[in-house]
Amino acid sequence: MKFLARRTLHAALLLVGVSFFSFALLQWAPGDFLDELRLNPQISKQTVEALRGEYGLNESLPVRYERWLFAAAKGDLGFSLAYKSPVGPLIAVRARNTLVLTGTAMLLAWTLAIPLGIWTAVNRRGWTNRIFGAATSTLLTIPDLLLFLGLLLLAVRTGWFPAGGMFSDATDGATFLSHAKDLLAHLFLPAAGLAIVSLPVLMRHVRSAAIEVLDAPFVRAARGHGIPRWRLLFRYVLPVAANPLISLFGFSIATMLSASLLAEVILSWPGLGPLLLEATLSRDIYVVVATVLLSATFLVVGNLVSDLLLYAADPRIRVE
Amino acid sequence: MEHLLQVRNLTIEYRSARTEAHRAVADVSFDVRAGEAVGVMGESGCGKTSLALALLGLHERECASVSGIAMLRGTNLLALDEHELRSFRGEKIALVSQEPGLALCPVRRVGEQIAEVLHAHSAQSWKQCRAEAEAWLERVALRPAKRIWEAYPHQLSGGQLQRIALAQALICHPELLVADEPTASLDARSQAEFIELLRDMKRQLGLSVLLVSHSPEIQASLADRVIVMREGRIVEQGQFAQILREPADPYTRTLLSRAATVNRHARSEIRAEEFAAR
Amino acid sequence: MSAAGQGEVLLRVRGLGKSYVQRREFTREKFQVHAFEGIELAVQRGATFAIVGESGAGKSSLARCLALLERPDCGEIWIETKDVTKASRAELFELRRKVQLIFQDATAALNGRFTAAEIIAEPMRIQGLFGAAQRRERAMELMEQVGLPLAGAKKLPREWSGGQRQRLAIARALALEPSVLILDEALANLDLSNQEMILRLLADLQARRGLTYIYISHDLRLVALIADEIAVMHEGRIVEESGAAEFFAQPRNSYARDLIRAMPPLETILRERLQEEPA
Repeated sequence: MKFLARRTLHAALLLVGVSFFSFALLQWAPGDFLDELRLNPQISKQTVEALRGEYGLNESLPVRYERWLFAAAKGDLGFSLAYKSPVGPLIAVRARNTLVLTGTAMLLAWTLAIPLGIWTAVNRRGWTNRIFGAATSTLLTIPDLLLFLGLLLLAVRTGWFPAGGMFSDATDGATFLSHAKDLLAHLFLPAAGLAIVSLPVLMRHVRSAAIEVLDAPFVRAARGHGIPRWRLLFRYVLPVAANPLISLFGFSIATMLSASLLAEVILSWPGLGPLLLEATLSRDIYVVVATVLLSATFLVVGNLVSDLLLYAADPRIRVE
Repeated sequence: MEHLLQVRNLTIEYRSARTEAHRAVADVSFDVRAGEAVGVMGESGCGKTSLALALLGLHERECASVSGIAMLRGTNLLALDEHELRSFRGEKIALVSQEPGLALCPVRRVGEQIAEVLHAHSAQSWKQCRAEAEAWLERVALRPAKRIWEAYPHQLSGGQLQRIALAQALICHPELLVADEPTASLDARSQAEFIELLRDMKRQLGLSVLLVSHSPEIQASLADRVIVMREGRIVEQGQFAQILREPADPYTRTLLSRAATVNRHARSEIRAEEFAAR
Repeated sequence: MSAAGQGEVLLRVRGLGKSYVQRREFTREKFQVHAFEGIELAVQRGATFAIVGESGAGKSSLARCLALLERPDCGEIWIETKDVTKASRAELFELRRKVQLIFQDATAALNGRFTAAEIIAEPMRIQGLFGAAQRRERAMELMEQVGLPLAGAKKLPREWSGGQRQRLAIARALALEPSVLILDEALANLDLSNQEMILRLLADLQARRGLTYIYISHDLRLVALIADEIAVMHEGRIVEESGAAEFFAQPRNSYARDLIRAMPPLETILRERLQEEPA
């Protein structure tokens, strides 16, 4: 448990650091929230200045950060200047949506990557190997942006999928089942897109982890004992290959979160992505910091989970 | 005595895209009788390991081409496909390799891995296989058997791991055991213990052994007949005492040259013998 | 084996000890591993001193400390008249010329991108000795002395065989004209015939240059051939030390006895076997 305590401390320090940097970066970026207003000739300079004072935008960085930090520790993440509402509830909903999307995409990506990766590893000396290599390379070179735009185009042109959003309007009063169906229809494109974008890298890693194990002496020794193929794969190869893959899992959460920003913006999924984009452009500082902090938390928790999984899966790490 | 294994014209060639074809074993023929221990001696690169692997069909088809016959009780091992081989491996012919630490799956308990071999070849329930595996741990003198059963490979020493590999190889009572440099990675005491154990098992089970080892002392401890290989070919074969005392082929002589050198230092040697006799 | 008389003591070790602090991989807790402690040795000039023990007994750590690659935690190492453990960095740099180490894996010990001649010349270059042309000349001389064909001076290590690579490593070690050569399982990865060749080479060099050898090995049979003095290490301590003949005749320590008993010479094995099985 000492281990958990140490990790929690690290996590806390990390989050404080992240919050400070995002706060500082946004502060140092030229302009602030009220710049838009300033351009409007109808609003007098004094009004803008008064507003600025009211929002506390004219105080120095350390003061503002300190105030924010103490408030955040109590759970108050600040006030959104654009939405004119507290940040907490605002991002809570968005965060949930992002989790739904990212979670589904991760599930899809890994469910495809593992069998495909292993299959290409087992058949690494055959001719199918080249085809898959070419396919993954091609997928890798397609820019994420292009892929998502392509999916959007698909949705619009064919009408098979809704072109954005999370739910259709007027679904109150509908049954839970139709609600769920509706969600799935909206979820499909962004989740599939995200999965496709992450798939090549994951597949390659699964493949190389599997190859390393397949070429290991103990697999040959087990074959030499007459262990049947499937048992060999599931009881000997996979448990050992799982080790590097679990570490990869932690990393893939980070990349997935980054990619999800793009997916959400293009496919209009109401998650943290569009919120963050909007808030950054309009210097809605508290929203930005809170969103970044939330992403960082997802990351830290994800890595912690993967480390715990590693501990459970690999006896070599568990010293007596 | 009848022949358990008859090898005729065995040739193994390694192919690779980058280099030319390399003939690891060239036209090798020999026999192994039931209950006999045949030693294969030679320098590294002489083909002895390739030979051992070929008998179990463990060469990748894409990397090595194996030709010739290896008749094990009427079936040509070299003509079997992967599926057919599975009923032979472990059950009629088994392999113990050089590095025991690498021959076991690192994330599973050693007892389980012994039980797996039995489970793969018999209709017994998993529980029965577990019990049998534990009994075998006792047989190879690994005690306390229960605790060793639950251990993971990284928690055990080289000598212990090699005995576990032996238990895995023998649990289905194969007729022929192929041991590829089984003592090369062990320290002196574990080596002596392992060879003693192997002799024991050979006596108890009527096992035939094909012992690949470059060490004349190991061969002297176990082999009934010895085959000397050089660059893929057999240069000499015969009774072990004959070969090791008076090698006919000059190459065998150079192979045993260090053993010969030891004989020159008769003084210290005699004392060691006297002591050993006490 | 050289005829080492009761000569001067070239290398003396007093109360040497070393432990390592390691961290558990996951929890990052620290724990101590004692490599060796309380080591007392006296190696005579021109002799062959063997340190025998099982793997993990701390022999390699000891070898590295004696070769001045690591500093021990406590104790003294005297080379000739100097206590090496108290030497400054500058002094150590000079002292390294006196003691050279030959490793078990010659392939890993040689820089794969250097030619043979460059490998042998490297120590001289590092120590700033001679000019480039002279270094090359000496490298060629050394190649000849260890029995490597001069035509191979421009070859890379991977183009040589295992035995030849080890000879290259020996040539490199000799470049600085050391007094002591430490061989850490240097013959373990070689075939018997290669071992025989290298042993002859080493005996030859010892006779010609008056070198002192410290052999670290787990192979008692090898040690029986060449050692004048034998010390047995067990779990980080020296449990027995005596002259070779005495060692094999009357080992005092039970662990040493077990070791000897586990490695009888070939003749003994043959004899026993023939007695057991009259057929």
